[in-house]
Order: sequence, then C-alpha cells, then structure tokens
Amino acid sequence: MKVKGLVITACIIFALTSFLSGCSVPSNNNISIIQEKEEPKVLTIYNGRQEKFIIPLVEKFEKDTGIKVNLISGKATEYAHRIIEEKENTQADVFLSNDGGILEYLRIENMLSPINSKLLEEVPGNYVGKNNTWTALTIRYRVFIYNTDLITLNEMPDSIFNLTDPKYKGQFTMNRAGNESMITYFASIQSIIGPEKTLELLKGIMANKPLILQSHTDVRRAVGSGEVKFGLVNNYHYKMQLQEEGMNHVAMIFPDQGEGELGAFANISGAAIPKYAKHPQNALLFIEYLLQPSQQKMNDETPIIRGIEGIEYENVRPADTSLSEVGPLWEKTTELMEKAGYSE
Amino acid sequence: MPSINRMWLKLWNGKPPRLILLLFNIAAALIMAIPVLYVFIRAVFAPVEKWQVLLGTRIPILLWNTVSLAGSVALVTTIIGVSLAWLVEQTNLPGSRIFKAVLTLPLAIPPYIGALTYIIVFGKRGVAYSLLGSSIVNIYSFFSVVFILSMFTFPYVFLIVSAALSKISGNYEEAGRSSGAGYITIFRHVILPLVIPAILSGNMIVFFYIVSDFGAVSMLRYSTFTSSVYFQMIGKLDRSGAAILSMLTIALGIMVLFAKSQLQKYSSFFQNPKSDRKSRPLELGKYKNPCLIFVFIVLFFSVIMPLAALIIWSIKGIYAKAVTIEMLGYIRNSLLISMGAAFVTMLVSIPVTYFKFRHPSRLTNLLNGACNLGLIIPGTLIALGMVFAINRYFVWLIGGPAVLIIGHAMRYLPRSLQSAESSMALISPVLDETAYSLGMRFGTVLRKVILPTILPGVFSGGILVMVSSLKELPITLMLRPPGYDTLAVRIWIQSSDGFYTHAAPAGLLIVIASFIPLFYLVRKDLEV
Repeated sequence: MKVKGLVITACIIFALTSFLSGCSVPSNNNISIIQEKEEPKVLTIYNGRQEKFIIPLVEKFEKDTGIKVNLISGKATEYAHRIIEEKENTQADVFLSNDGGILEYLRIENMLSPINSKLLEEVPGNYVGKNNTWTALTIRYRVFIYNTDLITLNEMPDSIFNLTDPKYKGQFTMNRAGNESMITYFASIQSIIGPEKTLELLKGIMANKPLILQSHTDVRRAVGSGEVKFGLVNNYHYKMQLQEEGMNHVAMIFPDQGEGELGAFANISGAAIPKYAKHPQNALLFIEYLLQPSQQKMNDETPIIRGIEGIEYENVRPADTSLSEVGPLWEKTTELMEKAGYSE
Repeated sequence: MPSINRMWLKLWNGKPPRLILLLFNIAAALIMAIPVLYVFIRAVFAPVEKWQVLLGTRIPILLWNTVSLAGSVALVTTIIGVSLAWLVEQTNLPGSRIFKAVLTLPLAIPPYIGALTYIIVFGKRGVAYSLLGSSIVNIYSFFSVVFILSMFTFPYVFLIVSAALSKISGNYEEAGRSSGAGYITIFRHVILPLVIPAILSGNMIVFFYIVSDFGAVSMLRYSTFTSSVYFQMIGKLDRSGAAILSMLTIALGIMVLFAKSQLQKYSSFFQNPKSDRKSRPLELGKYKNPCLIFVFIVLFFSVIMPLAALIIWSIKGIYAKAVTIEMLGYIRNSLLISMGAAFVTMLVSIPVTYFKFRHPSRLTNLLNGACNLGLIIPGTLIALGMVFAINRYFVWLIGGPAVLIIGHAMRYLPRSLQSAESSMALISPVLDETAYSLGMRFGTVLRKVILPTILPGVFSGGILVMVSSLKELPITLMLRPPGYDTLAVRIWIQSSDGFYTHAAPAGLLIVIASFIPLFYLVRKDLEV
C-alpha cells in the first residue's frame, strides 16, 4: 500500500518537526501579581512600525543588555486590537506604534501602564500621553511629494485644501483610509476646523478621484515612477524615495505654511507598556534605551529629543494641535471618512 | 418515551448513528461555528447608524465587486480547467502524462506571489516597460485581475475534473458507441453528466478562494468583502464595521453553498468499481497543434513566466543579502504548521464524511454545513473569533503553535472534506449494507470497505490542505505568537514594505516546498 506508507512518512516528519520546534507553551505566570525583583532576560515587542526600522535597534539592545527580544511585526491597529482582546493573557511587554492616535486609543481603553522614567521630561509635552501612558520616539510631518519631471513647484498645491481643486483631478495619490496615520491626520485637521469642514474637505478630495494605495511606500513609488504627479506622504518617505535609482526625480513641500494657514501636521512613532505586560521592568529599560541620544540618532526620522548633535531638525511651522486631543476624535473621523466614500 | 424515540428514528430515516460518531460531529461543528457566532454577535450589536452608513455607501459596490470577480474567475477557470482535463484524459494529446503533472504546478504558486510576479513584469515601470517602453496592459483593470487570479486557480478545477474523468469506466462510452452515438452525443449524455459534480466542486473551491483571498486582490488594488474586512480589521478600531461586512460575506457564501447542494441533488450517481476500464483516447487529428498551443499558452502565463520572474528576483535578493540564517526558522515554522493542519483535517474528515453519507438527515446537513463554514468565512474572521474564544476559554493555548494549527485546520477543513467526499461518493451504500448482511461488524466494514476506498481521497485532501496552509496569510498574520513567523508572513512583511527583491527568495521557497506534496499527488495519479 503506497498510500499507507506515505501517511506514515507524513506522520513521522510531522512528529519530528514538532519535536524540533520544541513545542514549548510558555507557562503563564499571571499568578505572580507581586512584582518579582529579577525579571527573566526576555522582552516581547508587538511592533506596529516597519520592521526594518526596528531591527537594528533591537539587535543593538540585545547586544548591550543581554535581554533576548521576541519581536513580532504587523500593523499598529492590529496589535492594539490584540492587546485589548488578549487582556491579562497578552505577551506584549512593549507596544511600538507608527501613529499617535492609536496610542491614545489604548490609553482611553485603559490598556496602558505609566512609563515611570525621568527621560520623559525631555520629550515635548504634547508628544507624551496623559499620565505618561505613552511616549513619542520620533516625529514625522505630512508632506507633499511630487515628481519634478511631471509638475513644477509653481503648479503644485501648497495647502491640503487645494486638493479639492478640480484641476488636480486624478493627478495625486494617497494612502488608504485604513492606515492609522491617515485617520490621525484627518482627526488632527478636525480638531482645528471642526467636523463639517472636514467632511467637506474629504468629499472634495474624493471627488478628485485620488489613486488610493496600500501603503506610503506604494504612494512614494507611484510618484517616483511617474504614475501620478504628486502624493501625500511623511517627510522621511521623501528621503527614502531619493535613494531609489531611476525613480528619484522627486521633491517635497511642507503644506499650509502660509500666513493664517494651518501649518504642517506632525505625527509620531511611539512606544507604550501594556497594562498586563509580563516584563514591565525590561520594557521600561527598552523604552529608555530608545530615548537615549545614541539610539535616537539611528532613526531615519527626526528624533523626538531636541538638541542632539549632528541632527538636522526640520525648519517647519507645525500645526497647532496635540496628539493627546486626537484620540477622542478617532471614531468620529472614521465615520466622516466613511461618509465621504474614503473608506478602504 | 416511545414518541420521542419514534421521532428520533424518523429523523434518521430509521438508521440512527452511533452516539460517539454523532458527538464527534456535533463537537466539530460547534468548534467551526465559534468564529461565525462571534461575527454574528458583533454585527447584531453594532449600532444601527453603522449599518446605515455601510449599506448606503460601500456594501452595494463591494457586493458587486466580489460577486463579479469570483463569478468571472470561476467561469474562466471552468473553461480552462475542464478543457485541459478533457484534453489530458480523453484525447491522444502528445505528452499528456507530463502535462497532467505540469498543469498542477500553478497550485504551488500562491496567487499573491503570482500577482507579485505580474506586477514585477507588467506593472508601471515594470520589466515590460523597460524592455518595450510600455506596460502593454493595465495590470489593475478588472480583466487583468480576473486573468491573473484564473491563472493560479484553474488547477483546482483541472485536478478534480481530470480525476473524475479518469474514473469514468470505458464501458459507458462503449455502450454509447455501440448504440450508434457519435462522440459529441456521448460527451453530452454520458461523460458530462458524470463529471458535473466534479466541475461544481472545483468551481466552488475557486469561487470561495477568490471570495476569501485578500493577498492577491489587495496587491492588485481591487477590493472585495474580504480585503475590505481585513483592512477594517487591521486599520480601524471599530470592529463592528468589519463584523457587518463579514456577516454579509458569510451570507453570500451560504447562498452559494445552498445553490450548489440544490444542483447536486439532481446529479448523484454511483459507479461499479469492479468494471473500471480505461476508455479509448479520442483522436485529435488536425486539431492536435492548436490544442498543444493552447496548453502552452496556459503554461506560459501560469508557470513559466511567474517562475522565471520569481527566480530572477530571488537571485537579485540573494545579491542584496536578503537570505539570512533566520530563514531556517521560518521554514521550520511553515512546515510545522502546515503539516499539523493537514494531519488534523485528515483525522477529522473521515468521521465527518462517513456521517454525512451514511446518516443523512436535516441535523446532518446542519452539522456538515458548519464544518464547511471555513469556505465562506474570511481567514481574518476565523482569527479574530479564535482570539476571542481563546482568551475566554482556552488561555493555555496562547503563545504556542497550536493556535495556528487549529486556525489553519478550521480554514481548510472543507478542502479535505470535499476530497474525502468525492471518494466516498463512489462507495455505493449497497456495498456496506451487503457487508453488514454478511454478518460483518461496524469496525470491520469501516476497515475493509470504507477506509481502503476513501484513504486516497483523504490523503490527497491532506496534501491540498498542506499546500494551502503553507501559503496561508491572514490567519497566520493575526494569530501567530511572537517567534512564529512563517515564510508567508515574511513575504507579506517584506512586500508591504515594498521590498520585492527581499520577498522573492521566501516566495520561491514556498513555491519549492509546495512542489513536493504536489509531486506525490501527481505521481500517485501517474501510477494508476
């Protein structure tokens, strides 16, 4: 019987792989409510930022501290969900986010514990969550990137509100509405101009049929390759596009810089310690590590700590909003986006 | 209580199942139903306003997008799959044995990797653009999406239909011929009715594959219910919207399942396995070359071109130092999870299939329907439903690979069931009744009559599950514990960062790994 043989072979191989992987189900030590003095040298990170930004920092941390890092990467909102769903069973010791709004959401859901560190005093106040529940690590601005072969600086819009102008119909691209930073972006706008005008703006943008893409990487590439004339990205995406040979005829504008205009919107990447973290001391150590100048320098983006030598800080007028006000506006903003037909 | 007893007997048509079999089936159905219940609860408790906004804006568009795409792909794959199966099984096409093997190869290429290769070649500023100065086609148009998805899903129809064709006894055809019927009449009245259940099964697999696919669809910038659910799930905090969309996906699925069972009612048949005789292949004559060209065109777009692109990009990736020692760990995780899932589904499929065929009743249909839910629930929903259930009731599962194995098994159980069922359908109930009347006991009948006949089906079902599970994306992405990244997950992470050269080597590995089980599947067919 050929089949029988194959079945047996399959079983053996399966058993072997199970054995090799050492099917270890980690013991849940949630009984130990009393904090232990000495934590085992492990740290699990739920990472909602692009993995390649994090890996060098994690590797350096492992080398410097001897703590073994267990990294899992995905989308920030996805892991925020997961932390909420997993409650006290979560394995997450640190949550890294590509967006401030989602950190605020976790704070409102009461899923974070305070980061008790002196270093947080060096972070500008509106980039720290209430009661030190989260901290920003880097800052990024929402900018226009444009293809210099296709459009000149003069023809480019200089305000987000110009995107509703019919002359730009079909000429620009932006990230899908499911991206947390897009929601935070429009929530920030809403915090200044109110819901009606935000809806109007969203409807006007959608009427111009922008090319909606899956990620900021796709957006910058679509501009770099000349598929569209310009797009909405973060300032560091512009720097990355400059490095792509053959697709780097691009330039960047900080929008809304004129007198009486809103200013450029800033967002952050940040970190938090979930309420039910199993290794809160290691988590604190990691976050403090990321806030130190030598690690702050390792980011492609602008460090959140000011005055670090050798760093070129952007000369830009930021919008007058606080990320900690944005959290409560999230729901309303997604609703507005949905209503405007910007919902994927 | 004679009346309850009578009702019980009536429900089972006088043949009530053994208690343990019944309990097993109820348990399996309940486990499968958990994610659906979760979705249902979420959707029902969603605010009315949410429903109104969704119904007013996206649902009509998404419904049309989903149905038109899945329907078109099902149609195209039926045309391609059935004609190829017929050419290979019933005609004197040269090299048909080799083609039979080669035509299953696209199964080893997950549509999202396939889509990636098409983007590399035909995308804006892709290979075609740099060679010819034009992208030739718009890769993101509806017809391109249908074409690309069809290229990587037609083998499902091809495999199932050619298996059914090869089982048709030559006697029927001969009977037809001796009564003076021409080939076309025989085909219409003898062959076609015999393979229609197979065509329907293949069709349904493809339909639901497209409905539940999110990788390829979202790479090609198309939006269906599932991709929409996925992005709601990972990108938005409001789970009720995702639940509403998923509930509608499920409703759509149930409607199609219902339609299929109605169609199958009129087409059940049994063959006498004793008189299994090969039929004489049809002479193609002057049509031989056009047929060969057709086969080559399909092969070019589904195997040669995607593989070439993948290999070249992998080599680029190796030069870019994308291959690291960590990859071994990812390979191990992929193998562990896919083989585990295959093993679980094979074990479950035997009692479930037996129960369905030998104890038909309304209750059976209900329980069996629950086992087939994996077909119509997007992977994301299984994942979220599982997180919910696990955190409530199965805390000890957190952190290990068992979560992933169960999740994959739930998603792909229907695939192994369909395979087991098509074998089981060939065992006439008369056969085991005869065995019983000869004084054989249940265990003996199972061992001597049922198992030998359905094991090949169960095993090929297991292989299908394993191949599918190797490339599974949404469940793995959402349920994997830290440290259990698989190859598929790595591809997703790299390509969503836009690093196609870094994604290619892992993609090539998945394709190679998927070749191995396929090879067994095909060799088994060749030995017949």
